[in-house]
Amino acid sequence: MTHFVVTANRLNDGEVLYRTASEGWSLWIKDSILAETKTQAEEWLERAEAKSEALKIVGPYVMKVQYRDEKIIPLGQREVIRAKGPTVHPQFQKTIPDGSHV
Amino acid sequence: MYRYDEFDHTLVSERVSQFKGQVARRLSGDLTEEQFRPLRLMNGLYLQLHAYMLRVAIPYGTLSSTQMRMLAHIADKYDRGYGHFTTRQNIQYNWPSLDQTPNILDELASVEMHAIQTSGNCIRNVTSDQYAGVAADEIEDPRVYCEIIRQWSTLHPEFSFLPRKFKIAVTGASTDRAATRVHDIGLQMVRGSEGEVGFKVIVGGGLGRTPIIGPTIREFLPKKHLLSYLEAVLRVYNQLGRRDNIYKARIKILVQSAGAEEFAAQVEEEWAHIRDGYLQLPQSEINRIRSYFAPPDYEILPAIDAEHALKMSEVPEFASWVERNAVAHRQPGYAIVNISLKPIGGIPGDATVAQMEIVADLAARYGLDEIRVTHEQNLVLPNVKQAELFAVWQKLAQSDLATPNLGLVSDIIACPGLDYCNLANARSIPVAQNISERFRDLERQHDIGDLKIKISGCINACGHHHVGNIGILGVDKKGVEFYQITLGGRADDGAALGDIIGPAFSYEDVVDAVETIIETYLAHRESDELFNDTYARIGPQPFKEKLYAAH
Ligand code: SF4
Repeated sequence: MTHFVVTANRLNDGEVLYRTASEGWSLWIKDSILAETKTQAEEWLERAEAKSEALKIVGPYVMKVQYRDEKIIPLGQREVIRAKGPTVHPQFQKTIPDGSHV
Repeated sequence: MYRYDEFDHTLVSERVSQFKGQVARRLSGDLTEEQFRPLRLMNGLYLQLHAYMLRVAIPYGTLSSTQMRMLAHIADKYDRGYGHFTTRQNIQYNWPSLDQTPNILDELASVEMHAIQTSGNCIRNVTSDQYAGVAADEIEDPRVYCEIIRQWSTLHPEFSFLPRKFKIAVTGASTDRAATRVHDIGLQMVRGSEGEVGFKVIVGGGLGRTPIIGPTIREFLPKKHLLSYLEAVLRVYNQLGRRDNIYKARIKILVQSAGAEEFAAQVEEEWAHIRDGYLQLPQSEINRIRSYFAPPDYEILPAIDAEHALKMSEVPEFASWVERNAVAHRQPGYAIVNISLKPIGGIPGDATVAQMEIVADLAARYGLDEIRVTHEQNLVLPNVKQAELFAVWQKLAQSDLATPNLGLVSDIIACPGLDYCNLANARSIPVAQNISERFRDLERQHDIGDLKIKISGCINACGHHHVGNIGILGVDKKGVEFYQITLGGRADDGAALGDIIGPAFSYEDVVDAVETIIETYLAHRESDELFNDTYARIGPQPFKEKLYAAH
């Protein structure tokens, strides 16, 4: 089923971030808080932009994901690459601390 | 070699310290992203998909070994161990952090480099022929005029906020290796009726959404009028260029809508007011700048070195590399060495720290300390003695820098595409890598002969796909990557835009499609005919039939 999450880049190094349930940011899409409607996600986006911590992020926006088998899957090649890292440099692919790939 | 003057030193160091302050204020929250964005872009810092990207200017693609070592050092200390050479003869770093960027700029300034004019609606880094100064077919070294233009355009107050970015290329040779017909302004050095040297002026070429081969608006411009004429072109553009629509803001749209003749007339009218003013270039000034580019002290050598000739006959791999990657030098006994940054299956234009260091060492030891960056994303050692080619080849081969594929199927131009670029629709690099792998047999590549494949990840055309013999453009269909193919383009003297051959191919199918096109060419080729000649002779139909036969 299609859901929505809020994403941004981290100010100092540009790392891709996802908005979490605790109104913080995570490097991993699996930690995202899922909105069932775009409107709901846009409300969260507005809240994220309003907070002073917004100064630590760049370019937040709402993106579409699929939620399937308890996994959050980004929609579209662009978001897949943002979530995982460049496909042409396997050594720079994003790895979750437990060693598994995103 | 070009040297900074006092003015450049002051300007660059002031700019770096100003940027340090701006970064600090952004990090502390005193500046919002909206306020900061134009400031970072003015310093060559973009935000891409996963990280910042810093674009460093390499004026007219010329570097010393010290500068190349610095580029390696920056890749090592501040980035992830490599740099990416681009079609604008620049280098891009894909992973710098914001807080470290001022330090990078500081280090660059120590070797007279910077990232100014690599972004924004200003006159960008001027590009040139990678063989400038050493080409056998050259009238004069075009870098002298690139440098004159650079000095005139650097932070030019009237032209810092043009309707859109502005790119100038200059060539001094009869073979156009600088793609002058697809620049906002292309300057080709020519001789006038009495043998005097001047420029043919081409205005309003460009790729991107509306690709146009630039028309010539002046057949001959005397050298002394170079700057006043350019100023007149820029003024007309600045006044009449469309600022209301980003897609119509480049000068090519203005030239097309007015018509080349009318545009030229407007330029002439503006020029009449300023041509004899302070912008006239005195010969003494040309000579002063020319002294920066004085040819090195070449040795007097025989045209053919006996030892070299022996090695050519004894070591076939070496001979094949020399035949493909080395080019005639205008000085007897010397050669121009092309260093391929396109190893089979590699990322076009990428060089690791170790590779950059090797190239710097070779330039210092064997190359009279000069290196060039080409718009086809390779490097050049422009001054190598024939007698030392073997040693250079051995060192390059040890570092995967001696693939003998210059101008062949695997010498592909590819923009960063969706692996890095924020504007991309589709990936470019892995398509290039897969094509290169498919044609990994160098003998097969040599049988196919010269063939230029160019790939862009979106319509902005940084990979120059419109002027590839085979051009590949990434498009997005509902989040899925597809590739539109054009045939018959070229960027050199006979510049032409490719024709779209038909519906786009999926990522999985695009390499097969390229192979089908090449097989069709080979099946129809007459003797040594080049791809574009066969295409011109037989037209698109045989290619379409093969490509879409199953559909
Ligand atoms: S052509 Fe498009 S995808 Fe490629 S680098 Fe340019 S803007 Fe990015």
